[in-house]
Amino acid sequence: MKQNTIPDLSLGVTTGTPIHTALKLSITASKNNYKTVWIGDDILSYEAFTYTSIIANHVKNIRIGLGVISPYVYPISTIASATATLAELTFNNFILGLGVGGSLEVERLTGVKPKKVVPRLQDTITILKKIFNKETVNFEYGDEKIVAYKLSFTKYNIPVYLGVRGPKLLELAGRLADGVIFSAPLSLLGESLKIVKKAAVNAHRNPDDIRKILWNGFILSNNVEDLKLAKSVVLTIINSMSDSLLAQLKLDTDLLNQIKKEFLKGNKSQAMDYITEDILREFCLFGGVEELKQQFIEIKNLGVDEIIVGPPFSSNPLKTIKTMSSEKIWRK
Amino acid sequence: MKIGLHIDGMYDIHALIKKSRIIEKTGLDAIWLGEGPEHRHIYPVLGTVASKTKSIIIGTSILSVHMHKPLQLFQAFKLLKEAFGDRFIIGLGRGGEKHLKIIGKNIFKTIPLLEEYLHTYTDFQLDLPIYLGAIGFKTLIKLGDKFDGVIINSISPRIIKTVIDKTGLKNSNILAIGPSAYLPDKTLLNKFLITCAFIASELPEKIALELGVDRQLQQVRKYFLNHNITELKNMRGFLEENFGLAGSMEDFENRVFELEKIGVKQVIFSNPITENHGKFNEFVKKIAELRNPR
Repeated sequence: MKQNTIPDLSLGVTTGTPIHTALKLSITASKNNYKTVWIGDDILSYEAFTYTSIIANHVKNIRIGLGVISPYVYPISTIASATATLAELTFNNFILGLGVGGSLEVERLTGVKPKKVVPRLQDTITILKKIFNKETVNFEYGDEKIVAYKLSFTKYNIPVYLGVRGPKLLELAGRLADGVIFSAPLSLLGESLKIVKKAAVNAHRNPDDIRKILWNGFILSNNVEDLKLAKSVVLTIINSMSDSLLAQLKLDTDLLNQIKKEFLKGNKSQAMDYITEDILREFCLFGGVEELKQQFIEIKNLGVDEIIVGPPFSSNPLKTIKTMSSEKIWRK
Repeated sequence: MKIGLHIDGMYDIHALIKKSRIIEKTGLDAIWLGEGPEHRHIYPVLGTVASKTKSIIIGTSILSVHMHKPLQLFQAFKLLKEAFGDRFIIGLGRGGEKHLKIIGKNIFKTIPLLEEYLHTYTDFQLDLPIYLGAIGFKTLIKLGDKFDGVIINSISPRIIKTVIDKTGLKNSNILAIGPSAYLPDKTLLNKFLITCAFIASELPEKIALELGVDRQLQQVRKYFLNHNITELKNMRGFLEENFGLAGSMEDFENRVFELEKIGVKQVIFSNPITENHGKFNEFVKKIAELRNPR
């Protein structure tokens, strides 16, 4: 199979995963030539930069990506210095993913709901780029402030990706980000990619310079019953999507609203009961190896460069990581 | 007497790994890690040092309560404990004034914040020791006995004794931390004096008055702000007597002995120590031998 027709495959774990499990998966991925270990921040779970550093210290020859880190959760000085530390640790093999984070989780941790997300992310990415360029910066946002801040030790021009969904944030990614992490309904993926591309062109950038990554639910299985493994992952995605975005899906809107309503009330299991097979398929890559390969090629054709093999994987995540090794699945 | 070494995120992360391994190999009691907003961040530093060492105790001396969120901080330690076991001591305090100014904090209400951290820590049931890093009398009087240990920002027996006497501190687990320079040449001595002057200039005036060093501290502050190293050199005796230690192994031995006599349980020698790799190894090896009582 020609390299330009197949996407890179990466591993995805979240900070809610017990660390020893994540280490086993990450080490296996690094031995099986996965492109990146992506670490997703479950805001209310383990601290993300510590978690990422532990993984980075135990793997070899694999890139480390952390996504997404929310400026509503971490002050910019923490994001900057922790990112620069991880870049130094990995010898410039680190990517920072920024995003708003789940609105509910952010509010639960900080007591404040994220507002004005487009300017906030725009400011954050702009300031971070300056800091990584060793410039002295000043920044003020609400209670947060940095004065004449400079990271003298930073050595690298660290790539900053955005993990975003709505059109305005996708445009922002096209204008400023080095990459985009989509965690999107598959039926809207093509449109999302077009928005990024258009924004890039308008900003006089080459859209191909922006790396496009897809991180949806992933299940290696021929058994439709196993799709249910992804209910928790899909629930998280649905709840972080705006109502207007959900309304664009060819799914039962009343059902989606019901899911959100139950989740907001704290009834997670009831919310999951409403998730149907159609909904799961909209947010998940699912199937046996051959089916998945076909899906990978279709997604690559849309313009995605890298696909994340992430939770729930299957009933045997470690076996899935070994099976989905690029070398093995594309060998034929 | 336990002896620990303080290193911080001013070093390249790979140098930090090397130093940590040397400290562990030599048999010292603990590696103490500090932080600053423009240093390598403490979270990945903690994860890295823990990953690259096997069993040595790793403490923080100290983390500023103004630079973290309690839940996030304890989530980091919960993870470290899950990954590496009971090897961690959480040292919390106000943090340096200069550092706090960089993150826009000009007015600090540290005591209520420390109480908030203690409250969250209790709810969290983390079961790792938590120490208070302080020299301010008010903080020590109010909170000193609520922590598992107290880290006093000086390795001067006189200062520590005064602090204990004047605050009525009952906490018997006292640790002393201060800048050190081993067999310093001119450059290292300058760095050492600047570090001492930095710590000295951060001492609240009220405390300086209580300790009877207010007049000299005004001078130190002036010389420090003007980068007047010549005058700081003239104040070497004062800075050493009250804040740090520069000298031979014999000087270090005497200091350890004096601190032990007044009840200090652990002394933590901090930067600059030495810039020379070979001398650092020698220092760590020799200082580890002082762990045995005379």
